[in-house]
Amino acid sequence: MRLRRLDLARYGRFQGNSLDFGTAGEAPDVTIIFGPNEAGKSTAFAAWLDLLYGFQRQGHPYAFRFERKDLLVGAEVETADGPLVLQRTARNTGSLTDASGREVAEHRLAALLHGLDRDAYRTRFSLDDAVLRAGGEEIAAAKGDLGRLLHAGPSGLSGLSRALDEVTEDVERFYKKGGSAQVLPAAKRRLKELEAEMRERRLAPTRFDELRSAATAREAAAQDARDAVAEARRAIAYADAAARRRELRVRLAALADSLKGFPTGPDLAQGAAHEVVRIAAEAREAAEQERRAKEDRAEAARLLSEELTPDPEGLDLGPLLDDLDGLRFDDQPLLLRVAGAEADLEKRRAERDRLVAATDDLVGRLGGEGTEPEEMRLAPATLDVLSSQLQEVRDAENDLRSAKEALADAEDGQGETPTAPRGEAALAEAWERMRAEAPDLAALR
Amino acid sequence: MNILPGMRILHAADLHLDSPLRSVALRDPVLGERLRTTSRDVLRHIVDLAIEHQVDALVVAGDVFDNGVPDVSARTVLSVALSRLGSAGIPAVIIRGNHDGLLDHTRYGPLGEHVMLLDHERPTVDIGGVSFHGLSHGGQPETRSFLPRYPATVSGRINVGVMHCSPDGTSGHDPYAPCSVSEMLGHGYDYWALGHVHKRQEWRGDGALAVMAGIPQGRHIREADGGSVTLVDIDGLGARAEALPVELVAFREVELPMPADEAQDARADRAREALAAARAGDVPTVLRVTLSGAGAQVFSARSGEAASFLGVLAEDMEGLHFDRVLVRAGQVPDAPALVGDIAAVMREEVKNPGFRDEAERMLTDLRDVLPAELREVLDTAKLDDLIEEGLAAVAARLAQAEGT
Repeated sequence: MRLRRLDLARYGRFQGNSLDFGTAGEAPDVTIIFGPNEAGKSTAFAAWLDLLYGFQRQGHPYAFRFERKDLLVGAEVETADGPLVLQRTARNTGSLTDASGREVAEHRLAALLHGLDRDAYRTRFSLDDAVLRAGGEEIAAAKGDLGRLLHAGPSGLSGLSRALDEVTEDVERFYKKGGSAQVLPAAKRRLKELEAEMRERRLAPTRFDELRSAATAREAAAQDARDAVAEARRAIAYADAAARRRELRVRLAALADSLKGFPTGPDLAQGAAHEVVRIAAEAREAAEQERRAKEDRAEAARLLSEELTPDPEGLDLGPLLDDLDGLRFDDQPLLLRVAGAEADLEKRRAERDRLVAATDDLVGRLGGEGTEPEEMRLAPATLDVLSSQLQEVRDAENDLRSAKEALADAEDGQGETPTAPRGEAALAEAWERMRAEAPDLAALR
Repeated sequence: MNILPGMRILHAADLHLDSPLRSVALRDPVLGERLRTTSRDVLRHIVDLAIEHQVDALVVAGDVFDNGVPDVSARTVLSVALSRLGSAGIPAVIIRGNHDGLLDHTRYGPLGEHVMLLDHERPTVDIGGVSFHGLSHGGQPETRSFLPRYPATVSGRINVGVMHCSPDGTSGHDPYAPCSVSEMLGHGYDYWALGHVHKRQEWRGDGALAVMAGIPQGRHIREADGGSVTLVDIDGLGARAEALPVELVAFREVELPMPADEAQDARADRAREALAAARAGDVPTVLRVTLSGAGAQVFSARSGEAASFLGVLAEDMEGLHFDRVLVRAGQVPDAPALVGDIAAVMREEVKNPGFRDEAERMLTDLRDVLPAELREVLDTAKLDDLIEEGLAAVAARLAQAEGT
């Protein structure tokens, strides 16, 4: 920003005065304003400051010819965006206007001033008598912002000043004595948290000792508890046994009581107990058989499902068998007859074998060992003779039986056999002896 | 010369089980989560190596654990790992370092029969043709050398000393149990398996070899010189040591010169190449990059800009992560005249004792409020660097402001 013209419209003792600094050259220019004391050099600088920052509120030092409310300064400044004409009045708001009295936003000016405030600007650009006297020492000691600004000021390095501020800000963002929100203290807090967390996760030796003694104590306690459990189990076993015994005793007593009603023993029939035992044994046997049957059935089912494979020929035979079932013979199902005949067949075969044996026997007896039956076959004529003779023998036997029956009938008709007289046996004996020993009578005779 | 059967041992130290990779986790939560179990994984890896190389013994020269993070469950991890080793027929020889409260067998129970803890009551154990000698630390500060208390050499056998100490000449670690290297090498042992200092180092002399194994897994950028365990072959002819890398994440520092007059695409290409070259093999690598030279000036103005510049470059480079990106722009050659003047004035003022005193005071104030593990970043010894960095940054900011 370059000051082209300063208008002292109503300010101090000036009215309608303008200071024209001429057009800008190629290079930055310097304008020197000189004059005797009280010529208005400081007034002009104060007017420039008031234009930039506004009139001070009370006791304005340059409100002696005109009242404060009537003070007016103006200026034409050259900026990067072109010339800008400004005016400043004493109004409380909207005191900055353009040449036509239209309000101009303060920030337009503030941007051109790079944020310098009134004091900084004044100190930097006005090493006047008063400032030198009042703040000389402070400035010379180069303390604080003003000092730095003073150093920077004559060089015209407003941007550098801001850069230094930023450096300071950066530093203070990292660390500021006594601060707690900066990067460093925050990081230290985080570090502390992390360390605490790490400590927490470690198995510290003291903690290890505690844990180990706790473990030892608990192992001992666990052993005690196990012993107690074993003891308690034994006690329970004893108690159970005792309870069982009590129960048994009660039942025994009850049974004894109920037995008193049967002094002579049970009313059961003779042998009932044995019968019961036998039936129970049978029932067990039946159950066992059922079990085996079930096993067999399961095994059969398993075989059927797992091991037996359909026989292709059998499958072909199936329909034939069905047809066979339908066939009939002698008004009976054919198969039924076949079954009967098969049963008979066995008997017949036995009969045949027996006959063959008898035949062989006979042949052997007739023709001697090794003779073929065929050889022993008789001629038909012989058979006829034998047959008729057999008939005669049968007839003779019949006659014999008839004669015997007639004899028996005749003997029946003879009546009772008379009782043998006493001495008959002796008589008979004597007779026999006489017959044996006596001399031939006939010869005698 | 004795003809002794050869012996092969794997020498590790300073596992610091469960000590977190804090700076990585803070800067890169995703990587941090992946590396949460790193120290345990590294231990498993060491056991794998021992089995793979068919060593006769694993030697751990102290600081298996970390007193800063006492977690008894870490003991289970060690126990599991060592019993796996034991099942493979490999015994472990261990001494307690200054961080090994958790190795207290009377408090926490023994680790297994294949684990030999050497201490003043049992300073020597024989495995094969080797006598291992070791003394354990009790946890109290040790200001005297342990060396005079080490047993004498057993003749006719290979002698290996296991010690947790600060050999003279090592720095960057607390001076704990100091020990003279020359006395150690002259003690008569064939090999010294050392622990405590996290940077790997070898000393040879007098037919003896001493190796500081270094931390198998660095935990931050200042532990970039470890990352391995040491495979040692010893026979009658002496000891030969070889570092086997085991780290699962590597820390590397790299300087990236930035000339002033370089086309943007050429600069990007060069930076990408340098970043790719800085990767440590296949493992994820955490880089601390220093952008130096006038071309880095543009990154001075705002912290984080350099990091985002590299972040974009490394976007598609797998396994590359950034610890910090430092900018050392140095003198500002072509700053605008006014800014150059201011910078020159500032540079003049820096020489003023009063300024330095105040700067030191501010540094101390700030250091006091930093978390303990970060304080070294603001070490007074680095005042000049910090002032230089600050000057460059402010000058860059001013130049930027002037340019707008």
